[in-house]
Amino acid sequence: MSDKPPVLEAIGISRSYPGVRALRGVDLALHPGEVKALVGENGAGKSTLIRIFGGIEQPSSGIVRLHGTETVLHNAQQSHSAGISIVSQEFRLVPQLTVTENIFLGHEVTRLGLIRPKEAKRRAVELLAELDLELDPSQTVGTLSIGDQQMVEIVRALSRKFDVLIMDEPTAALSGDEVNRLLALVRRLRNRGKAVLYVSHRLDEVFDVSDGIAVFRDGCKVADLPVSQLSEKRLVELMLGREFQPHMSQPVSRRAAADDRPIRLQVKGLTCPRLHEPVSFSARRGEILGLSGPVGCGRTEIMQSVFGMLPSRGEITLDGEPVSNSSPASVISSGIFLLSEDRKSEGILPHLNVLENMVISASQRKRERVAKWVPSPQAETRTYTRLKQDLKIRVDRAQQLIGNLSGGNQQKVLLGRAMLADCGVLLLNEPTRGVDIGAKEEIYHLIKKLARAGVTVLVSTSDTSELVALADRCLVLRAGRVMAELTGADIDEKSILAAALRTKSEEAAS
Amino acid sequence: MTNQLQSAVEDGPSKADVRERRSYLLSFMTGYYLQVTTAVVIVGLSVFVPDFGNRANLQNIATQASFAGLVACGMTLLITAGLFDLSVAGIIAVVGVVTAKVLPATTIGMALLLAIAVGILLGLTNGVVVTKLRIPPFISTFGMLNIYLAVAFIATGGQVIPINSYYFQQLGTATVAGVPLVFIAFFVVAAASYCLLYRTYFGRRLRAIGSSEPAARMAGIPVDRVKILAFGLTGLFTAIAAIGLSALLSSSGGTMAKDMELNAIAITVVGGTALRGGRGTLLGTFTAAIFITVIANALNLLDVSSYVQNIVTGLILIAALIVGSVRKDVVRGAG
Amino acid sequence: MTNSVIKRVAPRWASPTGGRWSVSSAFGAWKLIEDYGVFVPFLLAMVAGTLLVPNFTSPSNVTNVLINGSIIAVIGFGMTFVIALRGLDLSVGSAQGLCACVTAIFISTAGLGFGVLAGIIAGAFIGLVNGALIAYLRVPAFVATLGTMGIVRGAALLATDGGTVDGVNRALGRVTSARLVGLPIPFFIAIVLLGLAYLVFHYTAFGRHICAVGGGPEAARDSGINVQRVTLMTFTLSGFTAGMGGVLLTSQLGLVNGSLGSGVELQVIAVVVLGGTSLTGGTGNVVGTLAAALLLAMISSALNLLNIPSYYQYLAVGVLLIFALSLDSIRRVFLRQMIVGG
Repeated sequence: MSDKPPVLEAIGISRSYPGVRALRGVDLALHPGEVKALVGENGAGKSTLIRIFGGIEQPSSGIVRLHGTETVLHNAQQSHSAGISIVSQEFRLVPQLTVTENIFLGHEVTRLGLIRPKEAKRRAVELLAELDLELDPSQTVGTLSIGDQQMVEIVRALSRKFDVLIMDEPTAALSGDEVNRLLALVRRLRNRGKAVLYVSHRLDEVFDVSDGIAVFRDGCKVADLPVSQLSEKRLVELMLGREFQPHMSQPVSRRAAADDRPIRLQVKGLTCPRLHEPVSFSARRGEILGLSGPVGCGRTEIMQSVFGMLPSRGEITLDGEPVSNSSPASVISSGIFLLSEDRKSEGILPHLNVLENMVISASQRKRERVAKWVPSPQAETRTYTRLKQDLKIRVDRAQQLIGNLSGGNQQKVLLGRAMLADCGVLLLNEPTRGVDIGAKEEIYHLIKKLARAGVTVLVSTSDTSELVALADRCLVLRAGRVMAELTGADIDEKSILAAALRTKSEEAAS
Repeated sequence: MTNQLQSAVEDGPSKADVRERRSYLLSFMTGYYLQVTTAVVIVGLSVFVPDFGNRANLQNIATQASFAGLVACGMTLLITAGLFDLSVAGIIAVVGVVTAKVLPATTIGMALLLAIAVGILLGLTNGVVVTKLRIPPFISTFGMLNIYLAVAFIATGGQVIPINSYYFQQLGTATVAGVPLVFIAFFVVAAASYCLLYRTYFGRRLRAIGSSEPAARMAGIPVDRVKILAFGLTGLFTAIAAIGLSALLSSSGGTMAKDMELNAIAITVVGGTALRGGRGTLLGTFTAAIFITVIANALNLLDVSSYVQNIVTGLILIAALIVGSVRKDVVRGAG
Repeated sequence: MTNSVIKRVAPRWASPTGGRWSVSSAFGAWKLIEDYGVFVPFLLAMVAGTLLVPNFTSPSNVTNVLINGSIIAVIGFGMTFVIALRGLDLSVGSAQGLCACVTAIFISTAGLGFGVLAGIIAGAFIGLVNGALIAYLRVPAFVATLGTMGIVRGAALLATDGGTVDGVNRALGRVTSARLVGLPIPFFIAIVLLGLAYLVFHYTAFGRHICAVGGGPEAARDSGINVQRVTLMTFTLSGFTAGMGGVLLTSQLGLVNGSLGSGVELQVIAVVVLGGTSLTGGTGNVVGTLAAALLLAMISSALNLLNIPSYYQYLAVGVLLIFALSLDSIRRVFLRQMIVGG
């Protein structure tokens, strides 16, 4: 394979954001006719590298070589004309345009400056046929299912002239059959001499389709081996790095005798977007229930539906009382609070200071008269100082804007907000995303402390080690279905991964 | 032990601290830049423009600044919450016309009460249209402007209704220790708005909504209710402006407050309130109202065509917008 | 307005095999309402006007409706593009007024050709300034255009010194007074521009890019579209059509003044939204814009003929706008549910 010169090379690429080094001196080479898989946990730097190849971000240092010549990619246009085509993880489709229009967006099929709709449609049908898709090319993309949108995104990447195809988690929203068609396509592209960079969480696919596998961890490439030299077990070890935190290796705090505690949150027959079948579960007082599964499996949607952010059907009760999940405000008043995985746009209030951010949701039910309208600065400062110590928030002044804090400190402030809201159920989406190791430990500690105090905590995360560290019980989801429920000592990274990565034969058998 | 560690962390001049101080300095500079400029302009004009500095003209400026300023106080609250109200000229017309119509038949007190009630009602209507019909505020209130103006015109048959009550006229012209009554009202409203925005739960919620509406929703803030209330308050402030204006003019009519929305928004933006929400400055609004009126007054004294004043207001607004957009980049670049 | 024109409005929603709706029939029906919905009140107004309003069908009134509707429609085409881009242009009324004045002034000093050219160029320049403010200085569209609205109005008043300018020109006047097969020429201008706008919107990369920027700015950027340039061009186009509207106004009135065109921005926005273009951007319906403009002109003329004071027309426009916007927001909610449910 490597007798041909590489078509795309990254040499010593680093990229740092304020406070974070997303990539540290990464080398990667792609040869024509090669399928290289890129694996690693969330935050390992895969997406950053892809954005650099796409011209959307520039490396802090290091160079990109195309066909052996050094190239600087300033924007998406340059990346396209250099022969790089990308299927991005978040959909970049215009919902109001049709399938055909989206496929050829930015490189329309024209003659004398006029678009040729028939020709475009003909080509779209051809491209769709590559994936055995029977989509109507005239259909508006906004009305397609998530899986079909994903397919359109892939077809769009195919419609450009390219030597390198980069696919970022292309199968997160696809069904088993669709995955097979996609993998067949990848093989055909390889036979045509294209280079494919394939990023996926699903290890069975990775072993199925790729020639070599590059493993990323914490912004570094830790391995780059031919697939023949790797086993699934070895790959998981490389991804995880085997550097367990001391408390993570002893998940003893889990209570086996949890069953006598009263049920606090009960969800029955919940249907919401992305879920293929209604889901039911319950959580007891003081229990930490984990929701695990790859990105796009539906666990985020479950949380958001319970919290009233997404339209849903189903029955939710809290301590036996029905909860109306028409809006977050009404859910919070029944005693459920959620911290979003998107801290930046759905968590912090960037123009407000740390103190205000913490007390914004504080329950006002008990206040009277003036205190109902005018906050008491003294009382709020007392509350703030107490929580700041309890939560170990590192901040200089209460008047500091929250945007200047590190991710971990922001998350602690938001945990403080949730605590002040007087809620018996706490829903956490990716509670430690963008949080450094030290603060992570402290946040785990806080979550456990809350649970000990009787709060029911639901943790939805793609970080399996997080669930091992936290959860008393764990639901594993995949593609909109609950695949397994693990309890107590069964919760370890291998079994969670195994449940989420169950191969197709097992899926068929179950 | 942990406390010691914590205090050690706190004592060190962290990078965030320096950045914080720098942005504090920046906000200080931008915050008081306008006050200094206004003072310099007033002093300069007093020296160089005859008749500018005399008592009557200064009172005139104070009075003129108050009308758009009162409206701008409401606009500041709205813009802080990421909202807009382009219908204020319509609210003033309706309130003015209602006041002028009922005044001969009732006491001044009742008329004032009614005027304020109408203002609040129209404001709340805007709020309901924006939140419940889910129409973007700038376009829905633009439509409401037409409706309110039409109502005022229809009620008056296109005529101007005179106001003959001497005591009512006094509301627009009386002074207390040389300070016009309407200016005192403006000052009180500006101060009250400041307290509201920075000292109450309501104000905090307004800022939270303007800062990030999704995050505010997630924090359990009843977003719609807060927004409707903010529109209601703007209606109230606008009604006060309408009372003062019709008292000063001794009449009311559909065109009495033409282009008021442009002036109020210009004042708010020039004052330094961020157009994208989250941060509002009443001191800035207060100063900017005076600043813009001073400029208009000076142009007037210098015999510059009144049409130029439209242009000047527009240019000041756009200049402030550009400054705001560039300043945001500076802050972002520093952060 | 033949069937064949209508059929081509939205080939995207009907499946190519004809008759079979590509999505659920509910969605298809909804799209039908969205695309052609404006024709229902259009026909109702036409029938009601004919039956109830005296002289509604008289040649002079029909001509009047067609001219007034066409002028609003011409400006509306530019606004359709702007709204498809998820922008808004509040300066079109002032721009129309200024351009009418510029045309009149130049006609009396430099002749017809220069007058028309100057009017249109003035409009395009105003649009260019708007576009630069919005695209490159990143000022939100509606405040930027609110500012230019004030400036341009001041400039128009200043240029005419608050008085009236004689722009009477026999050749230009003929544009609105002459007839072609019994119909006024501005209507044909509107039809030609409709064809052009339709072509640009559905058959050029530029039109596609407008929808992309309006529907998904990130998607547009990632597809290699120069978002800033598209924004600049779109607002320039809107200024250009406002300039044409100004020239047509001069042709219609002869005598012009600086306060012409005030309130037109509201009418134009109302017309565009009523025509089926959503404020959420990403779509545009130029045919609907023309139909809605004629609808508005019919309503105005009916109110006129019935001797209803002109203030009621304000009311009508305001109510119409809020109504159209409510429909638009219902449509948004509906679409969201469609997408979530599907």
